[in-house]
Amino acid sequence: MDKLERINSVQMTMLFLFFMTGSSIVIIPAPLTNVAGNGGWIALLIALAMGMLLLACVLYLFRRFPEQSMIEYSRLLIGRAATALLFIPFTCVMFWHVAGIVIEIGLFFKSTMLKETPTYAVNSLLFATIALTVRAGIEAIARMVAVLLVLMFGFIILVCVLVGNLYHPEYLLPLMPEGIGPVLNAAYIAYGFPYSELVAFAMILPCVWTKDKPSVSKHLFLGLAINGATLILSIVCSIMVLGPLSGDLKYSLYQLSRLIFIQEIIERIESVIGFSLIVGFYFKASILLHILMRTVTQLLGLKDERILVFPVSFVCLLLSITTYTNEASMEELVNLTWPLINNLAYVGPLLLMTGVALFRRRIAK
Amino acid sequence: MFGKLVCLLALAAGMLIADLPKLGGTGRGERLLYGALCVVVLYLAVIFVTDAPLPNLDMLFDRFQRPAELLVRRLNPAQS
Repeated sequence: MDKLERINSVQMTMLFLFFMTGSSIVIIPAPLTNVAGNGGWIALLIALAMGMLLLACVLYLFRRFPEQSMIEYSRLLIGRAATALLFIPFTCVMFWHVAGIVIEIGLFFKSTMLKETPTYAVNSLLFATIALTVRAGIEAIARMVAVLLVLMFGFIILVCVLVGNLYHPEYLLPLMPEGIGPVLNAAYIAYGFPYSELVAFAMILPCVWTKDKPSVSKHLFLGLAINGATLILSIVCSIMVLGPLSGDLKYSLYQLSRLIFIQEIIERIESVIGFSLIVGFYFKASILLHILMRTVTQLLGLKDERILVFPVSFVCLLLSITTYTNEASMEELVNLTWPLINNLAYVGPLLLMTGVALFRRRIAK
Repeated sequence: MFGKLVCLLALAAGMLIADLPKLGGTGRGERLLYGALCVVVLYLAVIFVTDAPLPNLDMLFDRFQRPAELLVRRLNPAQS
């Protein structure tokens, strides 16, 4: 299956854009403005710069090993035993990572639209959909992505335009009333979610058609820039509308959509926008589950990954309903522990491999 | 508890109906991993249904909380 599944560079970029923007567009503005106040967008710029550096590392290794995934070139660079040692925590964290996205969807539904529905029912239906999507393969996911990407970004822009009458640009000042500390703290949060997560994407980059490989770097950097611009737009818009409250209200974009009121014609459209935002969560979880399947099968040297999609999804589903089930503990994890865990499990192996690859190249010269 | 059990049994039945006919045609490694994952599913299902405080990934992740707090305090000394 892996040998046949190929997508082009633009499709890979759209997957990347969904992966980076999908859940963060709903979640990230609130914690950033909560911690850094009006400096939230500066924190995002710092995190984006860190993300660019990580992407540069991923793409450097991709250029060196264009037909191999992260696990395959890790075996070439540091050997089989060290690879197994590095990728066991990587895989464990990724199991929870898929679950974590669905926990966020469950919490979003619970606090906004489906207040009486048990979280396990919501999560089960989502995981059934995600598992079926992943079983269809990356080509099918890539074919779906264009329409849904336009839908999601279209609604984001629509919300920002329709609340235009509520903008108060004066809310954007003062920029950093408490100094640089809170901004760095917020940058740490945004670096952990979503920017350090992009390392996982190194597992599926070899899926790009060989003729498209030279343009992948340019496209992915463009995708990351669009992601940064969209997140900054949503942070700035939520500050301009909600002012000091923007840090206290979760799901800023959804909160903005609740305020839309145009001549009694367009109002109470938050459910439509909420569901379009859910598409982002769904796609991110699907892409990540696909990456997880690839990681598990390559790590264990298996050939058929489709047969394992349902049990792996089942494990992720059960993790999503047995870990961090309340909002406060989940928020604490995302804002405090997740960036560190990501650094150890995802970024650490990437930096090690980049270092070894650079060292070997210098020795070869 | 009844709702949880029904939900889990329905999902497990769906999974096994879809996978069991194909499982015979796969390799030994795939079958072994499938079995191992089913054991993990069973363990997590017990935690879910009984709300038992058994070891789970969140307990492992929480071990990183203290170092993460120290890191954040270094970045933002004003945070208590």
